[in-house]
Amino acid sequence: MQKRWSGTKTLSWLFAITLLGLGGCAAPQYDAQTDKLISTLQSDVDTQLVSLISLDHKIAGLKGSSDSTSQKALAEATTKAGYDANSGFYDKIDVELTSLALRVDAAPNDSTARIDVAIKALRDNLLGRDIKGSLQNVHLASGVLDESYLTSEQGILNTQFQALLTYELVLKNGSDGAASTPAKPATTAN
Amino acid sequence: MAVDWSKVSTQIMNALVGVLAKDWKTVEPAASAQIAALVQIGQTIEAKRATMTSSEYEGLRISQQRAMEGILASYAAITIVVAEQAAAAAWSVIAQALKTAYALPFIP
Repeated sequence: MQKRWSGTKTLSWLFAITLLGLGGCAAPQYDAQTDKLISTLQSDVDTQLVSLISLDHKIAGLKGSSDSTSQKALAEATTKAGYDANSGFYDKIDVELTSLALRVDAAPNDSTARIDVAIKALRDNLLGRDIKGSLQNVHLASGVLDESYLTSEQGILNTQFQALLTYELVLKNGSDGAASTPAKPATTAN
Repeated sequence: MAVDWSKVSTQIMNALVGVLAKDWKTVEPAASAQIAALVQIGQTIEAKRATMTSSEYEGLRISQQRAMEGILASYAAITIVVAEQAAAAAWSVIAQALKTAYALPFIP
């Protein structure tokens, strides 16, 4: 998986540098709470995807068995992997995404508008019963999500999370004055 | 006949250059990473073509396009409209390659 998305790190740094290099009146500042919100959201999403992948594995393994124990286990796994059993997850990340967006918008700066675009893209990829292509929308339509879909989606979402996390890391390093920082926030705050 | 993903990768780059024109050089490193991600998704679709549903295919198409749009639109020089056009052009290369090789029912 790590090799599969090997370009992500470079991409994330570039994304962060771009966001920081916008010039203007208010310099973005590192915010530990924003960083924590992104990390928590990423962790919750990844945990859920891994769980769904595991369930799909289990379902695939049980499909070939006809004994009653296996059939019962298959029915249970299918229910657990279904949308209804996981609707609480979508509610939870809805709250987390809203908290993140509010936190980012609470202290507007040069990068806020573009960070908002990135968060909106992430939200649309995760949530929305009626938003085509969102995880929630596909889960509703498919019932049980296939491992290949989940793995690909995990990779796509991780590129988005990594870009946001790297942005925060660049801000943090800038705040700490780290010598290895590839780009520092603008210092011309009004 | 299997898809030649190396050729597809070049075609995606050419499609992006066609849309982004002079801004290509600015976004090239980031776009190159996205091209690699796109090719990986194309290969997954190819491998799972027998079982993949149309909603799963559409889900991957749309979310990958959104992710690419978000990255490209983070560049001050690139508008959201151009980012959308670039992401759509890139995916159309993947779709065409898969469609030509396999005539998959879930690719319009």
